[in-house]
Amino acid sequence: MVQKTYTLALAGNPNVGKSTVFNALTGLHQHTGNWPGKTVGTASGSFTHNGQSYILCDLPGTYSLSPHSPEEEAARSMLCFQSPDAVIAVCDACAPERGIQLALQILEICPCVVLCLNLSDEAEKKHIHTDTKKLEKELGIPVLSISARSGKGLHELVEAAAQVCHHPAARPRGIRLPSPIREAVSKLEKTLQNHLPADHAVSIPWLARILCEEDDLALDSLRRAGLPDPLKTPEIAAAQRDALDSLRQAGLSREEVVRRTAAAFVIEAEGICAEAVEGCTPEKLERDRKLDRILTGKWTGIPFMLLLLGLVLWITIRLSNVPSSLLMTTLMNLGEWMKSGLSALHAPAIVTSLLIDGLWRVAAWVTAVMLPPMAIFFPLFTLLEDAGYLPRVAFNLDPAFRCAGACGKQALTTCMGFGCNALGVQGCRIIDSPREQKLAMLTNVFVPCNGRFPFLITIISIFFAAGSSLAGAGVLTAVIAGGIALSLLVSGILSRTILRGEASAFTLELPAYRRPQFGRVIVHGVIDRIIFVMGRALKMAAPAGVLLWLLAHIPAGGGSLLTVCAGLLDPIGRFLGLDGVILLAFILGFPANEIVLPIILMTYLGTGTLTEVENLAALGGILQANGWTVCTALCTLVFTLLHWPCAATCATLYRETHSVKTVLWAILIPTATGCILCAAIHGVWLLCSGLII
Amino acid sequence: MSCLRPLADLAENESARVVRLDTGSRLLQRFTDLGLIEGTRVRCLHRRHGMAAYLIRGAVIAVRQTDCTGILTVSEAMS
Repeated sequence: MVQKTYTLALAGNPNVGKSTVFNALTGLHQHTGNWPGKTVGTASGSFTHNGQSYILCDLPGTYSLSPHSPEEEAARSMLCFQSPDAVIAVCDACAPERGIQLALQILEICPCVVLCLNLSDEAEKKHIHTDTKKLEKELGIPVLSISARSGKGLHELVEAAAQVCHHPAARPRGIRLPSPIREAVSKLEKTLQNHLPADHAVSIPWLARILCEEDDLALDSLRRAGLPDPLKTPEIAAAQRDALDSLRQAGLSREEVVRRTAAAFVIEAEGICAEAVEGCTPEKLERDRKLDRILTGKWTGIPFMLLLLGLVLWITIRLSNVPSSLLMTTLMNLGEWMKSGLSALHAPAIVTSLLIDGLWRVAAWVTAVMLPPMAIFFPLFTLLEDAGYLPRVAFNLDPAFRCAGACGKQALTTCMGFGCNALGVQGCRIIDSPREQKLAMLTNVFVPCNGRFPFLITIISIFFAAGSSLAGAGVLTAVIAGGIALSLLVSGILSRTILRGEASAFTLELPAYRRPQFGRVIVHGVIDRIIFVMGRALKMAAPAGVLLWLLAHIPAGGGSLLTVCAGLLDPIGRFLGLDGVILLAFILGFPANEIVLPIILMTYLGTGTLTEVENLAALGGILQANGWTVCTALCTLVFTLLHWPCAATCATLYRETHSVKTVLWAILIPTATGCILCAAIHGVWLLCSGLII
Repeated sequence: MSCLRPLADLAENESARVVRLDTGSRLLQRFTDLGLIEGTRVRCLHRRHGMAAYLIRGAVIAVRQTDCTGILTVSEAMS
């Protein structure tokens, strides 16, 4: 007999540890962060319990199921139309009221719910006590206190969810609505019961309510999900008209109905919590408030932020040199062994050269240069994220974003861009206003991602820091701060030109500070980075290595195709303070910015392959021998920060906006900014050196 | 009798009860989702740079001052 696989959905407010519960149950490593909107898509994983297999879907964190953002829409559609066997509603045991409010909305749609109060250990520390028995009685569903981080109560949670799957509750729990909405809804409910097809899977109390609210969005998503339109049934349409008439006669406009029903959920949750929860007083937040006074203080907030960024960068630069050269030597040696192995097998020389000199060396180079800084930077960054610091950054920077006519949450998507601009662009979904979302998307590439970061570090170390990691960190902090300032400036210009508009209202939650889980963050941070960088190295850098090898080996006009192309681009490159080779490297680096530096070196050395460069001094020597000055280095820094987004980012932009025009703007804006700045720097440099001579 | 004051005017550490929400419908929905409706007690935790953080039902929510002028409150005892 084939066993049924049950589907469980994990729902909850943002930042209540949903992803931690997900990871603890499935063993997957969904990236968690202590700020709202971290899970932008739905993730799913599977696990088995007592021989029964389950699929667990992690829904994006939402504050309610009345959708005003794509995530909420996604969460509601999943709950309404895909009928999971059970829903695990996660809420924060430290502030359960809002979670219960959402649980009530879920219960209206789907009766099979288990409520779990996560972070119960923290609540205990704050002396916030929730009577789970009382809650169970009030809500009519199992309620469990758990702590997903330590694993406490997880077994019981799965047990309870399994029980709900096996013995599903009969009907959804409606909400106590105020009169006269209550009467209108219950009349409609009766009609729906009599006239909906028997196999209609959608909750009747919910459907009755949205009909009274004239929620067209919900009806639209119902139709999109392929369910029959209830208004096609004449009796139901007539009943809706009657209900609306009675509401209008009672003097309630549509807005007022929506407002009162929404408030009914809040009031019901409040009533339930007044009985079952005790102890949440402002005094319990004293520790957080002291920290906030420093971290978001008028005079301390921004200096502290820069200091923290500088510190993270300094640690990164300081610690990544040694493992980097070690990796380089090892991987290059490995390549040599493979080469001799291949020639021992009598493989054709050209194939050996293509595989080892082209594919392997570029992949090895990318790994050695990129991996150590990333494996250090990201766990550090994740620690800050985990501690709840990033929303405070958004709070600090908000005045600047407001002046730029942008949403304060853009600070969060900018931070995401440090990891990967493609992810940053995707993360812009957390911004509600379409105009501000577009602003955030178009300016996300102004912060250096994963692939550009180590290149910046390398150039700064050679030309601007003279081997001092402290100076390097200082310059890099300035470069990044400059990038962010430029993104604000460009956002401001866009807000006043092509994306004209005022800043719209938004709310930003400042979650409680939490002690980051050092062990988990560092282990997973490093492992995830290794997988990510290696994956990219193989997917992007290896094919690029083959292409490069071909370009370098196809003879043309006295040199190779590579040198000819570089020669053609040289005048433009020179104008920008770069040279043809650098410009060509950026163009060829479109699939992955990681390979820009290897291409530059390969072309300079004219070897057709990447040579091992033992240390920064040797690397600096090669660059200077090819005419690099401080001006070239500065222009290259600027151009690294400001040029077209990589292929993955462009693809994500298209996926998110479905607009070729937006992608073109996203390419044009940073490229134009970069070109203007580079040409200006070069001009000033020429002028100054002319004056000195 | 105490007079109506916009939420944006609350001083640090001041508590108040919301009596009216005169904001755009989208923001109104956001506030409702966060549990802020007529009758809800809020407390201003800190104000900086034109933004203020409020304690709403156990959670700390930051709002731009310009966005919460339409939320009218009556003062409660200072605590």
